[in-house]
Amino acid sequence: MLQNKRALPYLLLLPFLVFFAVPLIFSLCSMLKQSFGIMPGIGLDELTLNYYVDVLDSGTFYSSLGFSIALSAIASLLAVGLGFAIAFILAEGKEEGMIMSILRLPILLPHFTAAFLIFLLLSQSGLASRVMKSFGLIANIEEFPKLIFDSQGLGIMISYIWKEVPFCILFIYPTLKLINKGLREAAYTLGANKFQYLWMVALPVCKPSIISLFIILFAYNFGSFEVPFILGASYPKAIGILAYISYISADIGSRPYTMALNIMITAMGGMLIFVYIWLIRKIKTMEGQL
Amino acid sequence: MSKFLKIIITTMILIPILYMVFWSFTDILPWPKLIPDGINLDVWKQLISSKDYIRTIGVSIVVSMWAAAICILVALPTAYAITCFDFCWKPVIRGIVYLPFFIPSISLSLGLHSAFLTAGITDSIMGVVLSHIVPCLPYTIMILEGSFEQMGRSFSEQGRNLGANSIQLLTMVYLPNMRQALYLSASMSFIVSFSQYLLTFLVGGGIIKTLPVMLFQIMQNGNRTEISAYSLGFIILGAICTYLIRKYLGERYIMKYML
Repeated sequence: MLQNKRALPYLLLLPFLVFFAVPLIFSLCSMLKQSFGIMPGIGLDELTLNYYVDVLDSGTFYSSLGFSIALSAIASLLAVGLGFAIAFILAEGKEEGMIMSILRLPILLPHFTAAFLIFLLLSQSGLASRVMKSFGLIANIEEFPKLIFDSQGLGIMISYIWKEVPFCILFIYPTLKLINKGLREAAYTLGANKFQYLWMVALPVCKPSIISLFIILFAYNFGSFEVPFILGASYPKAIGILAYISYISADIGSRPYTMALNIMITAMGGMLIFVYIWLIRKIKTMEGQL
Repeated sequence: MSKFLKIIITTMILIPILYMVFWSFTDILPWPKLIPDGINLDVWKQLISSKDYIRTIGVSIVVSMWAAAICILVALPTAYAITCFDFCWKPVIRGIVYLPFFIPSISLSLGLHSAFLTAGITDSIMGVVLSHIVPCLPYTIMILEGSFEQMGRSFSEQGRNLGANSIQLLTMVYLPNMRQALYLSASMSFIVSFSQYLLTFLVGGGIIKTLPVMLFQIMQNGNRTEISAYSLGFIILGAICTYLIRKYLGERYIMKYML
């Protein structure tokens, strides 16, 4: 019986291993193998780090990496910040009304549809520019700032933010509503004003969710392919586009290079896990000290 | 303050969506015109009568239904094991579960494609379904894990005191109390699979055409009217499917047939 009991959790995990862990780990290993230049199918069987050197030597890698990091950091920061601020104000209000259902809408749309919406709205011939023209704010189409296909990635960022702010609100709101019942009254009774309550109670309580959200959004935005493909400029390219273009190129000989690039993108994501664990631990010990 | 903010949020969310609805009924609208001369239904007619579109809807629904079903069947024992049992390697298993949240989607898609190529299961519905499990499952497990944790150990202690074994505990104590979480995770994995573009495109090799694959093609070649109509069609279908999952899985299936 005892033997049986010990085996049970592993038995329960069996489908997980078969359908999820094996394909995932197998794909990571096959990427690693190819990135080290081992592809027997095309006659490559010598272990080498040359492809990593090639990636690190190319200037486009750095410009794409910098572009993607800056873009996703700014977009995720704004999304989480705005999300928290809005959730805070909404939680201070009395009734919810329709707003929660409306906030669910952008989450239902896939990212590439969101990108298209932003294109309809903010391209030089989009709604915003038409409205400005009808109010006489601009005279011709070129006067409208180039927000889409721009080299700063503004269109991409706006599209991320449009889709992710509601996600953050829905994630943070329940926590805020929950602490509003008890801690809020306590804070106000002890003489805290609204800002003190925000800064000293609401923010610390939401900190773990804020950090998780930021990391998840950053990882997503960093390696996203669809949105920069639709809204991005030809230079600089987001890192996801760089990997994709290199992957679909007809030259199979460039595959190890692609995989080396891919492993570096994956490693960036992997580093985020450690940042995440470190931050969460730090918060926990800080809470322990209090 | 809160009321004012609600109005702003509502406008920010609804205007782009409504503008897309507006575009789907508009033929040509040269800048700077705001309002077209008449309503144009051509694209909608084309969309409804297109056999290719109907077939694509079919493929999409089949793929995502399978993906969601497998996800639930895999996630349920996994979440149960993680929350209710102690075993070594638990942190490792947890780490693997949430790995897809951290691996950028481009690497995940390219990696899975090259692995599936080696295994020889690309260009088939089965391959596409299996590849979708990887990005969908973490959400499913996350939701179910939360639900198990919420019920806590007291549920299992009560059940055990009444003489239930681990499997009975799962089917007779936990499951009936997890309806909400079950359909939430089913619809979540359905939606994630339903809107998967790159993975489907690569693993399906262009042969397995789902709605996102079709939509992406149209986005590259079509005009605004077409893209708007097809995007709306996509959104409406996704909403209908999740509604049906909630209705049938949430109320009937789990309660009557699973127990």
